[in-house]
Amino acid sequence: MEKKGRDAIIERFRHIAENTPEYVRSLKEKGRLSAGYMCTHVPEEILYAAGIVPLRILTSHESQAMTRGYIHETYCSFSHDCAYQGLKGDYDHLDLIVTSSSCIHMGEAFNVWVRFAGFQDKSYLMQYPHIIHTKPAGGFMAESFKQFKEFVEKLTKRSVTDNDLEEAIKVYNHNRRLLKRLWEFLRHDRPPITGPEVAAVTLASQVMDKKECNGMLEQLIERLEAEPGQAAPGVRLMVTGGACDDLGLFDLMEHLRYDTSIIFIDSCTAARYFWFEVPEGRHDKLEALAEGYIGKIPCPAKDTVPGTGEKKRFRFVQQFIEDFKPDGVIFLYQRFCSPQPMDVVALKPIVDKLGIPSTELELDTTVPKAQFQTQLEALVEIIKGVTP
Amino acid sequence: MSGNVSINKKMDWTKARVIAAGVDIGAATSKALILLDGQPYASSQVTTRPHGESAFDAMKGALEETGLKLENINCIVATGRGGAQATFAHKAVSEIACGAAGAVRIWGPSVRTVLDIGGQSCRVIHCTEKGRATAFLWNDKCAAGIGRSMEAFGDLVGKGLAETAEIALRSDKFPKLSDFCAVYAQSEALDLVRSKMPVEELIAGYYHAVARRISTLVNRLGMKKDFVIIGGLARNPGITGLVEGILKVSSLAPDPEWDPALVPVLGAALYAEGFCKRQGSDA
Repeated sequence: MEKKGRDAIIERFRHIAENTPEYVRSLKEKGRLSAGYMCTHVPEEILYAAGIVPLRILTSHESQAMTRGYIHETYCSFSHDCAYQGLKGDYDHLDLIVTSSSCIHMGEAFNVWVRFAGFQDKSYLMQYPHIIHTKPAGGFMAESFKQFKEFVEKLTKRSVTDNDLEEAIKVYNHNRRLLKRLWEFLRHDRPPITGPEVAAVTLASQVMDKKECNGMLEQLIERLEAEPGQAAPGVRLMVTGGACDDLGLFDLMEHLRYDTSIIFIDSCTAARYFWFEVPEGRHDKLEALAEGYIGKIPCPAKDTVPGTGEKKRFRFVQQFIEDFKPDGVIFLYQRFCSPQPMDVVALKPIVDKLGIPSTELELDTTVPKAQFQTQLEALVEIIKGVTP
Repeated sequence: MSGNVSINKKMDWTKARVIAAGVDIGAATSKALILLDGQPYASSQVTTRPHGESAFDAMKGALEETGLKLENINCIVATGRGGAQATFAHKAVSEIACGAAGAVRIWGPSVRTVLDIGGQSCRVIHCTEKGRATAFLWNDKCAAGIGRSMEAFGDLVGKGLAETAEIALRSDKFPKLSDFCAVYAQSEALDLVRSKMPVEELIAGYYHAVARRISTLVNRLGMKKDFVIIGGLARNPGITGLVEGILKVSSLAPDPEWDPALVPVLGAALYAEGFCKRQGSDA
């Protein structure tokens, strides 16, 4: 019976992750306000403090020829897909769409919603510093967050107090800690949960009301802690790169002709979404939010230390490698994305130096699964040292 | 082993202790190869049709005239894009591992970099002296730099691959064409056809673009000597010559006994033999 409960919770998370518009409609039916966001640099806490449920716009994995007239061909499929869903009317129930000035591809997807999908009067573009590793970045962000808070107050016709913000920060930090505990299971030799399951839960958490999500996460973790581990994980694979919400691809990574397990995913749709906290109990809540968001694992689009060109994300990646001990690394990025594959140029030699074999997979709206499978199996053969 | 069907009639399969076979279901052609105690005995190549059928046809071609039956073969390993559809195979190994193993078997233990240019994909492989793959890079989704794009270009200029290869090597002049996308390159070529550019220059331009694309992939993984080129396009001296020129490295000379398109299937057969031997020693 216990096992059934665990599976049912994971199934519910996966269903929400794969059917976000349905979840938005259910919020509307409950009389809740909801806001879609297109980049994880948007401080969800401000929306949540105002009584709005923030949820990330994820992709539908449908071919979207109709967006070619709105976004340039050589923009990534993630941005095309998000634009497509706006045009298709999947998210007409949203009360607001928000993004931050970070990824230009997602910025154009946002513009499509604003100009052509009926969101002219319910949109907000938040300013975000181009490079976050500078002294003025914190102040810039706090000011930008202040303007966003004022916009949200005007929209909801209510003031957002420090208490509201503190409560939201606590709810979100709790969610981050719970997700971290879930991912920590994958460090074990015999984890009670698989990588694709953890990925599904993490995706769902990005589109759910955080209190509901936290309740489900607590139940899930309680059940997992009581369970013995499952089968030994086989070859341990770590994924690092850009946004990927294709759970089918993660399933494929664990269904090769060799035993494999995903033990970590460093991307803004997985660990980079939650692997940080916002300081609690601070006098200035917006400064606290700015400090928290600056402390995130940086997005490659924002991650250059002026003067040295250092990428701070690499320190995190090296730490994850040390902690989660992958046998192989998969560099995963969207076709036509610039920052993510540019990072691979510098990151791959670091991974090579650690003696960890790697491969690269380039994502599009649909993916060549047979080719990806062969590439992944070839990677595993290299890890296992297969010879005739 | 070369040609569509090849048999070493000096060998007698009834005396072999281990009969192993590989089957490689590529995008353009499907191949089968049989080893008797590690020595090449029979091979066949057929044009790939729906995968399962081609695997069977290729194996049938290799078995024909030998008197051998499928059930006489101790172990069969499948590889290639449609390898999973070879339902009669006992095991499957990736074309990366098979390409490396086959290349080292043919050219010897000095091989470190294998460039495999096939019908639907292009791959660069690093390997050890024992033929174990250690790293690889695969072309992206674009068809530029692979066999299919060369065939499409041949259709555009109305010439076969062998003829275009010869022309490409002969022509000193060549326009710059896109090396980013096969479709862009052919669209540019079509404009040049209409502007009455001599077809020889056009062909040379296209070959240079394809060779640049392939060479970039090799440079990204890194060139380690010795270097060999395998796969269907390794039979095209226009491509291999230009790639060597751009990389400033000569590949080891093709073995006249071996069709380079058969290298991965040889690797698959070597894996099959290895599995047989390990099973034998386990028993």
